[in-house]
Amino acid sequence: MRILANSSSPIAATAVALLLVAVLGVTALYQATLGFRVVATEEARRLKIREQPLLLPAGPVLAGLRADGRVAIVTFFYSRCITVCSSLGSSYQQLQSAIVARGAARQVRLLSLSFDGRDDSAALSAYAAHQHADSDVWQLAALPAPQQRRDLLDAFGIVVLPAPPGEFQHNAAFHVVDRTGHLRRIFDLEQADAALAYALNLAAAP
Amino acid sequence: MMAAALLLAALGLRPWLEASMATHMLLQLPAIAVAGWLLGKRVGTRLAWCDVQGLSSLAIVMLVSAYWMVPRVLEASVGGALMETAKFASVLLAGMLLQIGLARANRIVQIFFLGNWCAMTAIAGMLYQEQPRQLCNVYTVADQVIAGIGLVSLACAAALAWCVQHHRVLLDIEPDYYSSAAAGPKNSK
Repeated sequence: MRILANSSSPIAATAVALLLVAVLGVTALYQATLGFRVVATEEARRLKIREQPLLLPAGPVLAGLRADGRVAIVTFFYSRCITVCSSLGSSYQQLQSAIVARGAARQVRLLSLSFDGRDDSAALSAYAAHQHADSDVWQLAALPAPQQRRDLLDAFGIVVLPAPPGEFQHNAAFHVVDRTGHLRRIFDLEQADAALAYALNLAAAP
Repeated sequence: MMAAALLLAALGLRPWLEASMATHMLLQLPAIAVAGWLLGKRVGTRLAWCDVQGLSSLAIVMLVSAYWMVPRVLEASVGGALMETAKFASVLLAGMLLQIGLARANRIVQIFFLGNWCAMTAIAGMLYQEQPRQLCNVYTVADQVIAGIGLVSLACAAALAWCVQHHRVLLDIEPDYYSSAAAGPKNSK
C-alpha cells in the first residue's frame, strides 16, 4: 500500500483499499450468517446442531437420558404458562398418542423440562394430570440447581425472557436427543410429525 | 465534550438500551455513530491517499451498518464482551468514517452511497416487520416490529436530511457544478 501511496495514483490505492475492505466485510458477513444461510439466532442454533450434534453437559438430566436408553423428544416449559405451552401440551398429547399407537414407547419418549424455579413436584404432577400424560411415554422434570439449570439451558441454546406478569417467553421447540445424550436435531412446534419420524429413525439405527 | 458524553451514555445505559431491540438499534447504535462523527471532525485526514472521493470510508460504513443489522450478530453483542467491544469500536469508526468520507465525496458519490444505505436500511426494516418469527431470541416479535419501523424511519430521515442540507442545489438556487460548467468544486479534496 505504501508503494501505491508514493506512486502518483490515489485511484489505484483506493481500488486496492476498496478490495481489502470488501474482502474483510464479506468475510465478516459470511461468518456472521454461517455462510449466508441464516440471519436469525434461532435458525443458527438449529443449523449448528444439525451439522454438529452436541453432547449435553454432565448432570442429572444427561444421566437420566442415558439411563433411560430411549431417544427423547425434549421440550422446555413452565407449568403456569397459558400461551404457547398449552398448544405445546396438546401437540405433546398427540405425539404421545402417536407413539402409543405405533407401539414405539420402548424406543421414543417425551420429556418436558421445566425451567421455572417455582415448579415443584406437586406442580409438575398437577400439570401432568391435566395434560393426561402417560408416565411410560411422557415424563416431566424440574431442572435442578440454578447453576445446572443455566448450563443446560445454555447448552440447548434456550433463552428465557421474563414477561410480566409472572410469565416467560422462550424459544420453544422439539429437541431430539439420542440415546447417548447428544442433541441431534431441533424442530418447530408445528413439525411434531417430522420430529417423531426423525426420533423413530434414530431409535431404529443401530 | 459531546462525543464523550454520547459514548458514555451509550456505554453506561447499556442494560437499559439493550433491553429492547428498538432502543438498541435506534438509540444506542446511532449515539455511538454520532460520537464517531463528532470525533471525525477533529481527526486528521492522513489516509486520503487511498480514499478518493471517500469511497473506502463509505464502503466501510456500508459494511459495518450491514453487519450490525444481522439480528444474530446484534444479539451476540448483548452479554458478549468481545462482540460488545467490537460493536462499540466498529460503529464508532463507522461514524467517524461517515463524516470523513462524506467530506471527501462529491454529490454524485454522496447520492450513490446514501441511496444504497437508505435502501438497505429500509429493506432490513421492512423485513424485520414482516418476519412472523423471532429474529433474536432475546427480543420479542413485537419489539422487532418497532425496530423495523424505526429503521425505515431512520432511512427516510437520512435521505430527507441530505435533501435539506443540499436544498440550495436541488432547488436551483445555487448552480450545480456537475450539470454545467458553472462554479468549480468547492468541497475539500
